[in-house]
Amino acid sequence: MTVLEDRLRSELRAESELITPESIVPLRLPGDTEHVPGVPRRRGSRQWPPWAIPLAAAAAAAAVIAGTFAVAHMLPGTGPGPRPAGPKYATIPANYAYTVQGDIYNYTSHGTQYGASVTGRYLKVRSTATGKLLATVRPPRPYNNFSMITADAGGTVFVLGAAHNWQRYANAGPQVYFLNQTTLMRFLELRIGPAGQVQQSSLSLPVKVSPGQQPSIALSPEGSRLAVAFGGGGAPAEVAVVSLGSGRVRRWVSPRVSWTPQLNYRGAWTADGRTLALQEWPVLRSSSRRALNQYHPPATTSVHLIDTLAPGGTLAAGQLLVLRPPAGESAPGDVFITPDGTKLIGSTGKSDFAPVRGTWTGELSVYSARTGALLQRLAPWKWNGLDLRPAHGGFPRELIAWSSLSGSRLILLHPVADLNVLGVLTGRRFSPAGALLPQAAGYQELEYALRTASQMAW
Amino acid sequence: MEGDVAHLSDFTGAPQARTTGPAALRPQEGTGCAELGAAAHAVTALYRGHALGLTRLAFIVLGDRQSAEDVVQEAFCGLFRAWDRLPEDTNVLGYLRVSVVNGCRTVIRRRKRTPQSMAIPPAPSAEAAMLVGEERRAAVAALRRLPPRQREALVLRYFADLPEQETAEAMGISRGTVKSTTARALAALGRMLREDQ
Repeated sequence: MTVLEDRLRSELRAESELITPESIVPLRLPGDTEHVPGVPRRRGSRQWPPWAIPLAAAAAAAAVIAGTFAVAHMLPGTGPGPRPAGPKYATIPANYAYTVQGDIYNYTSHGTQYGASVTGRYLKVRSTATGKLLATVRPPRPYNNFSMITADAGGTVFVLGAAHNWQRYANAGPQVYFLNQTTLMRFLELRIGPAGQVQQSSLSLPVKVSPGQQPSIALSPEGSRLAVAFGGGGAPAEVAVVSLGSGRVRRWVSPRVSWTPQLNYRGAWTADGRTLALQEWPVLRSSSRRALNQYHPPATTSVHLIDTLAPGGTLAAGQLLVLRPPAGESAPGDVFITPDGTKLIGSTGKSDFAPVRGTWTGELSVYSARTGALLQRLAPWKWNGLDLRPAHGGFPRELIAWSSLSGSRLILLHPVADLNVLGVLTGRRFSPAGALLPQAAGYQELEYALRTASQMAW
Repeated sequence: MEGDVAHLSDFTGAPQARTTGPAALRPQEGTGCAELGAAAHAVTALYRGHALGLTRLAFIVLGDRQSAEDVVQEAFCGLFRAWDRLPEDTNVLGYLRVSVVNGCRTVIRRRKRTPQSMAIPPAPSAEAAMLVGEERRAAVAALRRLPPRQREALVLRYFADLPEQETAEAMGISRGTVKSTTARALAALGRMLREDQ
């Protein structure tokens, strides 16, 4: 064996070990989107006679066509005929976008080599009705991470925030990367035409932010204004609303605060495009042992409701609501305002750890957007604390992807039998998706992307 | 090394299912899986034993974890669909390997067709450049710049440790073509590594 062959063999082996046994996703067999190995499933194994195959193929083709129309009609607003102008929350947006895990970066810190995967390495845009892939978009070089995405209510305009997160040290070996927190972020706009054509352009925003400022963005329902929140953590916190057409900016600032302002990029605006919900995020900015020991998660979540038409230029001008979790549970996270502006919905839960075995429980807590009072608890779940396989997303996650006007119908990622599953919550009934979402290849990919904490805009 | 390479089946620690013949993988009595279809049971058992190795194989060829996982999932789904039609003496692992290699080719073809933005350059080059995370994996980076056929030959020969005959079967080419493709690929790889230094 030559030196080159030897080297190739050992490098291939080392590279392959980036795929770890724990990261293998469960097998999903055709016709059963919820199948997990080991879970009993129903499936006939009858073989078709040869004469039946052409007939079956023709029937299948007809069924696909009919099914497409059926799905399109089940998804209001995605069927044939013109879409009504303006955001209509009775309908599911025409397209959705999500980021996909890509490269794994190896970096060295204090002589120890680590690996980190980039969950927002690239982004896919798909049609909601058909699941058809419309575009795969990658950040402009040398940017390498889409850390923020947001969409209008109709699913026709998307704004993406790209970060140059992983960068080589200038004067070190080529194997050394660092997490770049200072290079200004770049923004892209995608516009999806009625026939699914994608037009991409670079956005030059008058607001400059870097990843270290912990920015978040939310596009207004009609897709013409972008809210950008950043700062805090000992510096002033700021929210800016930029008109994408004119470049005009309106700012709301606060004095130095310990928390960081956070916009839920899927549910920060009300349907009328007037009110913006902003969550105080007590981010821990130090990884020192002392800081970790002193950190206590907050008992409540504070939410600012900003009337973007009212006068005032400080965050104090808005209404401040303090959301209290159900007894013994964590403060509500990922707070989502329903499009009609009447309710705030956040995920709450608690972990019941025993030395060896423990469980998580949780639910969605619904609050009044007028008083901040807890109104109801929806979609309770339970999760076996030992089941942390990465294929399951590692941890239970409950995320709202889309809401009807009043919040009576939600599409969300929801823990079911120790697996985070995308589905529809109508009232108190959760149904795993499939009937409401096209079961094309993109469906499983979307679900996987959501489980592994990727970004999504719908 | 034998044809069914050890590191293609080393992640569960559980006894491996036999990989020759669908009949070898019928559900066992007393497993509590009576409701489980025979094909589903067998394919799931195979997946437990070989998903890791095949995903690694696809990852090496594609350089993209997500696509590698998709290719492997699709290969097992294809096996499941074809299960009842396979002869009893089918080398199932070989069948899966062919599916994975073909799936990788499809992904590579699709990448060339995927709509790209006006301002953004084609991604594979950017991805390949950024993946060169460590100097010690320069050969892997160079391998990803080889034409797909040469890359497949090297991965099957030097990562999967397949003999020439099985490599030929997996790639759907003759044994002689495997030899010449491998030789050309190694020569190109050596040239690239010298130029990169």
